[in-house]
Amino acid sequence: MIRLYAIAFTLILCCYSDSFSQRSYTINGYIQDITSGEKLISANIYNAKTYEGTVTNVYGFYSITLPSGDHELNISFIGYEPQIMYIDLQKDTSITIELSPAVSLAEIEIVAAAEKNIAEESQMSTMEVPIEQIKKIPAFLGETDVLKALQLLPGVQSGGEGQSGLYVRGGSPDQNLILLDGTPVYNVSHLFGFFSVFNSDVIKDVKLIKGGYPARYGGRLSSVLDINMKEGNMKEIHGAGSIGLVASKLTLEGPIVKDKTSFIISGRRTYIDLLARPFLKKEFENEGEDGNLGYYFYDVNAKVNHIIGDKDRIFLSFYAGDDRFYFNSKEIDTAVRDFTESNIGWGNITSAIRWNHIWTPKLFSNFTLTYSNYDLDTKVGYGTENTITDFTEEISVGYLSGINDYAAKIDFDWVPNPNHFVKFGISGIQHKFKPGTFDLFQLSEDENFELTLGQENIITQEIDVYIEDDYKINDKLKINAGLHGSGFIVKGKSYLSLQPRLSGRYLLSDGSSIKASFATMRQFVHLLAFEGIGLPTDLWVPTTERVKPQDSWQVALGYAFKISKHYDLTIEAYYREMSNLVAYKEGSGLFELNDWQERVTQGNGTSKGIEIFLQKKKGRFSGWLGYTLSFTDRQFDDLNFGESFPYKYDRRHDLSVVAIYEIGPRINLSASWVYGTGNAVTLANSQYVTLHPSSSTGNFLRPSFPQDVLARNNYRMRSYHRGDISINFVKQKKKHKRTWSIGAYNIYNNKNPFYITSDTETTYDSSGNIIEENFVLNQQSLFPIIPFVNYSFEF
Amino acid sequence: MNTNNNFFLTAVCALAFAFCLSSCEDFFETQIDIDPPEVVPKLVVNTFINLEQDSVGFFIRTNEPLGSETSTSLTNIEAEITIENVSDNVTITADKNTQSPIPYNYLNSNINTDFFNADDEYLFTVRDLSGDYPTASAQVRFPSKSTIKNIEYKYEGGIREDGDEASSFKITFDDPVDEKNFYEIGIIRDYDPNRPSSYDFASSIDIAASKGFINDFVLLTDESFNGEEKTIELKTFRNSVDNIPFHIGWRNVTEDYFKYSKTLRAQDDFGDNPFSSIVQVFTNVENGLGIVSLYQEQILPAN
Repeated sequence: MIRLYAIAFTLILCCYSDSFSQRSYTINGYIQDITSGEKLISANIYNAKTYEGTVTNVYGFYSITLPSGDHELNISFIGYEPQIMYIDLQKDTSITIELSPAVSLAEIEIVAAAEKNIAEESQMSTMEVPIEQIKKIPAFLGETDVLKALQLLPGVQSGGEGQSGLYVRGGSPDQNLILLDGTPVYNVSHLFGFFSVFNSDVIKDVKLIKGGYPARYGGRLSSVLDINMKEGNMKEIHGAGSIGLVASKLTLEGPIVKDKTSFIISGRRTYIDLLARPFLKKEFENEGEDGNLGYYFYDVNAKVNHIIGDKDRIFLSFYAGDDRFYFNSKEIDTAVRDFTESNIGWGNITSAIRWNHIWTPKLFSNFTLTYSNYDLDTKVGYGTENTITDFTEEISVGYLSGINDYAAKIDFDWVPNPNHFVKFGISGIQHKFKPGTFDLFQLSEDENFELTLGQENIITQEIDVYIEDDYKINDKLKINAGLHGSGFIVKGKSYLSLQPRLSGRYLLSDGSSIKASFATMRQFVHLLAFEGIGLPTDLWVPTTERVKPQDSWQVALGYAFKISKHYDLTIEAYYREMSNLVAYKEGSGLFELNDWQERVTQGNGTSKGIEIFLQKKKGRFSGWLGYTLSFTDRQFDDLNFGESFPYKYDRRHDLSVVAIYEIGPRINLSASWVYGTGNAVTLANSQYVTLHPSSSTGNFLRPSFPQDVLARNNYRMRSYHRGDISINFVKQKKKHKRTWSIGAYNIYNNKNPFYITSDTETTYDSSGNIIEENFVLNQQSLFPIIPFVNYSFEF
Repeated sequence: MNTNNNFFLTAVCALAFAFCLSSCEDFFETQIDIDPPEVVPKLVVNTFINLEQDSVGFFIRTNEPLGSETSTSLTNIEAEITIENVSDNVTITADKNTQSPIPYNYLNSNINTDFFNADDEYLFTVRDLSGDYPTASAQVRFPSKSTIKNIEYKYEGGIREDGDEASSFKITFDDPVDEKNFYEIGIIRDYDPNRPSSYDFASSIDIAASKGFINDFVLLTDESFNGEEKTIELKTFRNSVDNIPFHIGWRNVTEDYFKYSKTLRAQDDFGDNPFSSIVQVFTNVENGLGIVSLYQEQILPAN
């Protein structure tokens, strides 16, 4: 048996070794921007003769092993001048490669570049959106939003008008693993979902994976959104800022020690509350009160990047964001003064420390410590201050819920030879769930108390291990195979899961390939949310002995075709099954004191569809067309009487068109148009009277007047369509570059459905007598045409 | 440069135009009327057959469009009712002129319920003679009857400033084994077997209990004590100082009725709550609405 293992081990080593070939050496290092020192993610480096090559990892690191001798290496990256490097390879060599940003329009690749060469990548269902591209797409109120740009891609949809939540291939927003510099962000919305928490000025790279998940990712069912912040300019101080209708922001980056340590810091804040404060103050004074009313949100992003040596590098990242609604008032000019205080706040804090180390030219590691916290903190109180007796009576109710994580992980990238790119790692997370407590406080002459009621905090541990290999089997066939293992411990109960992942491509010709993937996923954290807009009150809860982890598996089949030099086409079909999905039971809801586990039920779901993505990446005119045909349903034993029903965001047709035209070096025009089948909502169909025998032996009957709800999500809202437009005027001034952006959201003022209300319309005669009463349904829209103007600058 | 200026001017004009539009109120009207869903016509069947007390009620109505003026008066639907004893293939038929053994649109007591047997299963079919509504049906059987072993009464005195007082009842019973059992329990004050006696408010804090769709009843499921002896405590804001006797009304009900009553209550409680999920009222009437409820009601002295 030992001999058998030895043979097997030797065979595996042979696969990953180049010892039987000509003497080989490894070139490794980083690929970075020549002007800023910013590391470039997914840059290509390949041997021009053999086409053997690799791409940089998320830290800009590459490693390529080649036979000794002369080589011509091509290095390229979106938006940069390609570079050719000649090298006589006689030993392992470390080289940092610097690329220059492209200056001519024709070289600037734009639009959601799914892959560098869509036909060659083994990974499918992945979209990488250049942040410069995102900034050109028309934005709601001029506020560039990463998540809303992603909603324009096939397979991704918004929950509703103006919402920044992502619904990926029939999944819910909590099923997206959203990482900011490797740290999960639990609440990605400001202002009830109208803006996302990601400040586009500090973002370097955005990658969305909708299926065929590599084994390094785990913990969510639907998608992975990996967002990386800029590292800060290593060469010189730069800044950027903007003044918009909603918010203004300012970013500063530069070297602390040139070419060794850099920083970036950025802040964003809304200011409608500050502008309105003087007017509101006067209004309060007119009412004989001193008060304040307002809403704001802010974000702060900061990062420090330090090169310790050739082999070591360290990053510190920090994000804090908060939304706050406040209303305070107090009577003045009286001896006994009533006062009211309301404060609703929610926000995230994330931070990460990352240490890169190059162990050998072929082995790279990253060690990460992260912290993530999300809290909702609400307090409503009122009272009376008696200035004569100097006594204050007060009653208040507070509500607190949230989640926080401490995590540690280590990831390794091992590139044994050009045919293999192996990643493996392990991570541990401690989650602390705060499923909602009420703080009651009373101070009065009669009775004083301070009481905390509600749910106890739950602490859980999660462990993940993975290994994956991007393996080029031959010139036509390349696969990414991996295994993700996860374990979860909650109150002595443990769950284990092994999740195989496989994706691959087969080249049909130079410009076309077929791709396929299979992935299983498990999710231990759940979000209790209503199928409406994302609210800060949505509650993160853990898997417990009673509430099982969510599971899914997904298969996808795709075809990638390079139609011409500038046009790419991808077509993907997918099918996904999900089990143990979590939903509120009928009639259950927020702000209840009973155990949250009593309020939830678990069920299954399926999602299937076809996505078509046609894009033009280069040239003065660029853009894309994305179309999705999908079917998504849910089945819960405790909902809809056990019958399957359409998911609220079951969207049969979803179409988006994005067009960007570079009119000249200083003007670009962009427009987008979206169309989607109306959301499914639940509406009663009729009403009736039922009776209850409320007497023992007689005929005493108690009536009740219920409504007949035929089925859950039985009614479709009208379809949604909207056009947006923006024009950017760019001018290079002496010391800075400025951009005026002018545009409009919902340019043709379509009254898109947001929600439906019912009402009774009454007709009166001239004497005021009722002639007729009719039941009507009203569709409420949210945003008419909204013009915007935005000024931004860079220096 | 000229091209840039032209575009800039065009953009500013477009923006100005958009702002002008914002002054047009109708243009920015965000509400539009839409057609309500077309009503799916259904018969509403409410049937109560209380084997223990020999009372039978059979009520046929129709559903109505939303917003209609609701009335508790009975709609004059000409329907034919057929009840088939599935176990022995015996069938009886009645219409609105019939009052016995199926009292049409009337709940009657002291009716000969010999047709019904506690162990048999029944298929109820209601056919609208006008043909406007689809035929509705329900197949049900009687629930098992549980044995009440003891009732302990306690006067708890005044608990509130407005003078309401409380009485409590501890009821011990055997839950029938090897089956799921459901109960609807209430408290009757001033019970008289010769006239209708209505139930009074009742509540329970037992973990297996929940409120009935009206506050006079407590619903109970045996999920946590299946097949075992159980004691449940009920309370009412009443006392017996004036020596008016209390009785416990103990109903063994079907699972269908339990679901119906729970969902009816939930829709009533949460129907207008935006922070609550939608509630569908259960029905065991195929192609119709309402409930066909067969139950066994025991009236037991409590003090």
